[in-house]
Amino acid sequence: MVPLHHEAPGDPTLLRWVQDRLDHLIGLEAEGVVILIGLVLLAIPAGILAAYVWQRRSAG
Amino acid sequence: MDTTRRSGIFYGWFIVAASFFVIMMTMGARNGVGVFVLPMSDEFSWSRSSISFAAALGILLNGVSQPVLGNLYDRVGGRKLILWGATVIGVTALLLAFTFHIAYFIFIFGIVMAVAMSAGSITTGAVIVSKWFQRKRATAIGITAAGASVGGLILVPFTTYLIEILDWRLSWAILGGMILVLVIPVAFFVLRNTPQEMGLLPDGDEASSAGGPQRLERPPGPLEVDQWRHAFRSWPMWQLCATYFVCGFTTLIMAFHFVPNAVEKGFSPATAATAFGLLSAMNTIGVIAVGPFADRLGNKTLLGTVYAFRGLAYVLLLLLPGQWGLWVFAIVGGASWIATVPLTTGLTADIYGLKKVGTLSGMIFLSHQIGGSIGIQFGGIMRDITGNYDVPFAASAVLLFLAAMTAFLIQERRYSVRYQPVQPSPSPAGG
Repeated sequence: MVPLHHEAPGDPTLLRWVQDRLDHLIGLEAEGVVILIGLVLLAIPAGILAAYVWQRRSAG
Repeated sequence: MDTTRRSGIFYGWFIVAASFFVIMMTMGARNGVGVFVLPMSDEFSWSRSSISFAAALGILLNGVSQPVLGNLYDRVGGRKLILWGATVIGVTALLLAFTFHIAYFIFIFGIVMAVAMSAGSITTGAVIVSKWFQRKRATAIGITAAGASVGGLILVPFTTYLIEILDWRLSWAILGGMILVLVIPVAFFVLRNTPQEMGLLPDGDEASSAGGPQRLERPPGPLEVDQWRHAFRSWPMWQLCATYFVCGFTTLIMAFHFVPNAVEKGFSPATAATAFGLLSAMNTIGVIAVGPFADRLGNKTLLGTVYAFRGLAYVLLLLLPGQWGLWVFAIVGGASWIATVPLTTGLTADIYGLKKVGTLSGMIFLSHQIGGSIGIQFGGIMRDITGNYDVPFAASAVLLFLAAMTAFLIQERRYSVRYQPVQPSPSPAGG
């Protein structure tokens, strides 16, 4: 089982490999990675909503 | 065309951004179930086949429910449906934190969440975006569909580390909470069903200023339908269902059998996983890149090319020696993986119009899931009979070349609204 085509869950072997690669590449502790990705996940909707509000105000 | 452009960012791109984020979160959370398999199995002593059953049931129900929810989409609009879907997906993710039995997991994940996914899926997102764009439809849908790939790339590692720090129950709760807190406000405030709701026109065009001549617009295509069943009286609908069937067959067979095939051929699990990781990354590039080309060259040309390339990838996987086949397949096949989504949805909207595009896209998606279910079973059965995956992979290549020919035969210039001659229209924007 692997991810990313419509409706299919991820393969545990692949996901474990992804984690190992990230450990190797980023060199952060698990907490650091969670905070980093968490901030990205917060920034995306915040950015969309900020742009939306800005657009609404610009339109009067 | 006698249309002008509004200044600033066209609101359709906000729809693309919001739909991208919805798909990223919902599909990312659901695809991340793989990381829960081991800790949940360990705690409850579940067999892998029990969890696979929930996943397989989810795939089936997701396909079966898509036409029904597509029909609902055409009745109530995409905004309500996506809001409803995201709410249910968020709540079910929260409920998975209280899992105590395999039957509970199968019910929540394999049934309720799977059906809700049809409301927050690539298909639904692609349909809402298709209403906001005509000339740049494939580009916009391609960016939206990339949310699925990006969701997997971001949320799966996030969930993996979350489980490592906390535990699987809290991780489900956090995922559910994030969907409810982050996705729903974006969908609620930003999503709108059609540009007409905001007095806009597709692509950001604007009716000519007061006193100007009538706006020129394209008339409906000759196959535009008010009843979804009427679409099945024409060839393109069958051609789209047939090609998407092959898409499902050839992607889900690989989704389930890629790593086992590579390992059986002597590659390490790490090498197989690396190749599939590359394939997954190529998804994002392929689905975004295909849109602008399709908007210039036509959807069916690109769709046929994408299927032909995927067929070539299967041939090379079978013929190239050593690891070459694996890597070439990951790159060439990976780029084609989700690229069919914007092209198929774009063709459906262009040929059959926007009134029933939700239902029709759901029907076509159902054929995709049927193809996928058959592909998974066929791969497993042939592996058991022949001892390897050569026959199912060769069959996939043949099917893909047939799909490519079928796509090339779609009479897009005759039926698509994009190729209808422009005519003056008395109706201004709005309404």
